[in-house]
Amino acid sequence: VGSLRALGLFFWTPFRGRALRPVYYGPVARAGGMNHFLLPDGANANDPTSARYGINAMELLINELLKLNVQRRRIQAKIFGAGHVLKIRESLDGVPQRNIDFIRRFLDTERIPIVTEDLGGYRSRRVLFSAQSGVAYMRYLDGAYAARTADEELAYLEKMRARKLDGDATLF
Amino acid sequence: MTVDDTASMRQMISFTLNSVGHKVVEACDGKEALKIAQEKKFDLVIADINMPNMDGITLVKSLRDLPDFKLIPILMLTTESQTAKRQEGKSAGATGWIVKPFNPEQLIAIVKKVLG
Repeated sequence: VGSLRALGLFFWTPFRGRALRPVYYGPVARAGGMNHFLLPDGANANDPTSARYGINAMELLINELLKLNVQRRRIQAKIFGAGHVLKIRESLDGVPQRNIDFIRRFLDTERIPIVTEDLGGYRSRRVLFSAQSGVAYMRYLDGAYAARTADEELAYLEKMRARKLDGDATLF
Repeated sequence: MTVDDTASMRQMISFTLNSVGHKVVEACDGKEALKIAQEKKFDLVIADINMPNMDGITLVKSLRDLPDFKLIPILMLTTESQTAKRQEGKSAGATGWIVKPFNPEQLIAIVKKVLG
């Protein structure tokens, strides 16, 4: 469940809100992409298929980087987000924590090093990423803007829960 | 055998097929899969398309040249959904095309079907 951006040259993408934003950057090919995803029901460590939408979103981004001649072993990640900013009940295994657990497990499994991270907490974040330099800029959002962002994210989360996202299958 | 450069994807496929009693061998790209295929026989191959070293289309073509892989089902499991790509897979010798993200029950049903 995520949006996908992968470009070869200079690129800025502003994103707001709460979900995790892993930013990939290949330091030699100088290509990068940003992925903004949210797993509304998190992922269960005992059933890897429960994280399939998150894995799929990450694979789409990695594939675009490979097409830009990025070597897989050179990919690095910067991850931001998963703050508890929605007006939903907080719990130790809540949505933000499950998203954090998912991305850590995914990057560890794929042997993609995390070079920068800023996760959790209670504030919304805005992230800008330059795909050319690999530099990510992050700042916290407060006040009315953060509240509006939280409302938008909650609506998005409910919409995503209702959607069926699995691909189709054909036998030749 | 499942072939995918994303380790998390291989884990999901193995987990899904193990749950119904299949044994799964994993390969991280077409090149490794082809090497394993020289030494082992399989009832089914599930392969990704976009992979480093050797992509899925090249893998299918190469596998179809091996006597033990001429007739077995080979399913492509990929993020690619365009008709042109599917056609390319079909001409290469693939048995079927599944678009990611895959639904575990659906994968089990297709595997059951192609294994007869």
